[in-house]
Amino acid sequence: MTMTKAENRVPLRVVNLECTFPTRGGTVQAVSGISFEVRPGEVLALVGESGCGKSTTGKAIMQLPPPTSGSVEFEGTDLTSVTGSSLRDIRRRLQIIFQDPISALNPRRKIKDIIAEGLVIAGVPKEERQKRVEVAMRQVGLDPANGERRPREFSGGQCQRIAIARAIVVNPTMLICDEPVASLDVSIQAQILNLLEETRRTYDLSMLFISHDLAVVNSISDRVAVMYLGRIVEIGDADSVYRHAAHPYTNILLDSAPTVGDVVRPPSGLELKGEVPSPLNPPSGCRFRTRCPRATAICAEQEPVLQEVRTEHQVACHHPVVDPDLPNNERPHV
Amino acid sequence: MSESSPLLDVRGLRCVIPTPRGEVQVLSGVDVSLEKGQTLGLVGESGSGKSMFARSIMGISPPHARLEGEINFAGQDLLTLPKKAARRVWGKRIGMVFQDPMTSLNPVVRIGRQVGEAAEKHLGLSRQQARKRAIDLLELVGIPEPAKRHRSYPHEFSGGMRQRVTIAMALACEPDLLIADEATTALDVTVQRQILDLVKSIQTDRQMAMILVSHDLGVVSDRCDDVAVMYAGRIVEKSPTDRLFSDHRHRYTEALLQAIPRFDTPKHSHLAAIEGKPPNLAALSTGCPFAPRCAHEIDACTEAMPPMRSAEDELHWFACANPSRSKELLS
Ligand SMILES: Nc1ncnc2c1ncn2[C@@H]1O[C@H](COP(=O)(O)OP(=O)(O)OP(=O)(O)O)[C@@H](O)[C@H]1O
Ligand SMILES: Nc1ncnc2c1ncn2[C@@H]1O[C@H](COP(=O)(O)OP(=O)(O)OP(=O)(O)O)[C@@H](O)[C@H]1O
Ligand code: SF4
Ligand SMILES: [Mg+2]
Ligand SMILES: [Mg+2]
Repeated sequence: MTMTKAENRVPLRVVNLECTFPTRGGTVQAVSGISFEVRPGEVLALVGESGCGKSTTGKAIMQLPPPTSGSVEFEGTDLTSVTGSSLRDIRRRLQIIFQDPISALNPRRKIKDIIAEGLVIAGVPKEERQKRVEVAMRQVGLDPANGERRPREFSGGQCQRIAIARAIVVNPTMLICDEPVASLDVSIQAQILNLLEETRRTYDLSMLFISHDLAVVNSISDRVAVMYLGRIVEIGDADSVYRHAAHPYTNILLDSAPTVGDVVRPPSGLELKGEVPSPLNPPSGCRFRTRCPRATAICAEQEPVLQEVRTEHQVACHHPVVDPDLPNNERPHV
Repeated sequence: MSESSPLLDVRGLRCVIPTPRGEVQVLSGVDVSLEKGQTLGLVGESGSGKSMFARSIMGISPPHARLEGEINFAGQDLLTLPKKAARRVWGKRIGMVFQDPMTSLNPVVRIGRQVGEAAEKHLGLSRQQARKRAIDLLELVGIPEPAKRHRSYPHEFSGGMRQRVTIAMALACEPDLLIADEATTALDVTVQRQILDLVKSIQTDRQMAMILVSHDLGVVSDRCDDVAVMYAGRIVEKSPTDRLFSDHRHRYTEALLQAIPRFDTPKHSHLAAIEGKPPNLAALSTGCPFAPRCAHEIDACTEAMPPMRSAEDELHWFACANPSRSKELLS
């Protein structure tokens, strides 16, 4: 079978991404050599708890700031090596909605100018700009008549709509959403998730969806990557990861997620130990070992690498949780 | 207090706050009762009055707020009790934990001292005894090495550990009622689970009652005996937890439950969002406050406020003129 061009061109490929931050206390290892790709038209979710490096990953992809090492390939171009006008053009096609919508919007500017920013950078003439801003505002459910107002006159949900309008107005091919609904009330949350889903379909976008909310992620994503302390510990098809979580950490996360009587898997019975380790001095071997109920000596000595546990589903663990009832369960060596 | 009367019995609680925009009806007649050892969940949209209700019970409503009705706690009405006696109840028998631990913690005082102070003041312990009690409490809430860590300052702890400290403070006097207002909302799910498990075990040991205020229906469904749903300053439905989720009647409860993504929601499906905004509490119209956003509105909804009525029995109440019968629809 020959590959068509479209299949060949993975929208986003991240290889060995590493981000460190020098601080007074030492070097923060925020992201430590992660690799993944986002496929055409798919939503890949990045999940994990506070401080595991989700936002840092999203920002490093945008080169804001560039990663310490590793490569970010967007539609075939390595972003870490391009500059100037070609970087600007790529930035147009790759958009990010930052965590915390209200503070991410400049409070002094009118929202129509905030939404038009990307068009100005792209050199779109004023009249066309105006038209496209109005279309984008309608698309996200904002009345274009409100374009003269400033962000503080809008609610959290409306600010998130403004951020989405600002991203889609430049016709991107890929969208990174960092916790787009975390700060919103349940009913508004549903509105924004619907809007993102609609936008994704209308514009045929690929998406990197960052969230700590596993139920939200389940409703929107095709694949899931679970991060712990700067590393991806499990990645794969969302249903497979949710139903047959193999990493002890993923199991504990899923056990801990509050549910509304909608349990799709029995609890694993695994419990966390100890306290969260410092990102200044992460544990040797498996970073999860200090909290892991399954840890043994090898976990401290050898860093586990991602290995296939099921089709389209990889885990980095020396002692993964495998479900013996399943036929296509390729049990890796333990 | 007779054997059968509940620990907390709130009747017709109203809270009105005068503002330049007019009088804001923050609570419009709330009835709630809670037995020893039981947990009541309070859910509802932002601004529906959950915190204001919790604060009224704790005696910390805003200075200009006008409260009417009764807040009977262990047989005494806190609204009519002399201030001094009421303060004793608030300090000793009711504890409260807020969303942001730093609202309860003093950044420049060692955490052991802060936990001990509450015990010292209300239980009449000496400094020495209070210190020992603080260390015990810190151990109880799962702070590792409490004998060392009690000398730390709040900034030396993570968010989850700080929240454990405020829980230790709230538990210092062994309260009969703990009010947790979004106490675990900002925490990671694993930390949330640990803290809620901890509170549960303390509840079982001491028969402590709890009001768990949360916008997270999942947390409420996992942790509460009963749930009350608030909308625009009223309780619109209350029932034992399992029934609220399986056999709710009020159309707002129904809409709220349909709006949340669940683990069994099909991928990329359209969620049933609740459109529109909550009503202006300074200009409430007659009738059901949810009517303008409700897909099942009929004339009766706006003619008068639909009264609270019971579903099958006295345990399940709702105030909806055109209720859903989720169970019948399913069968
Ligand atoms: N500019 C910075 N300087 C120093 N440390 C940083 C910086 N940015 C992030 N970090 C650290 O890097 C780690 C990862 O942070 P990041 O914001 O990516 O986490 P996150 O997964 O997005 O968490 P959250 O769910 O809380 O948003 C944390 O330990 C954080 O404190
Ligand atoms: N000091 C005040 N003066 C006037 N109105 C107030 C005051 N404090 C709160 N309110 C109003 O009272 C109503 C109830 O607020 P409350 O904080 O109880 O809501 P909540 O249900 O706890 O919401 P959230 O989920 O956002 O915490 C809101 O409409 C709010 O605007
Ligand atoms: S590698 Fe070891 S420590 Fe890490 S998750 Fe697996 S069992 Fe636990
Ligand atoms: Mg983040
Ligand atoms: Mg509140």
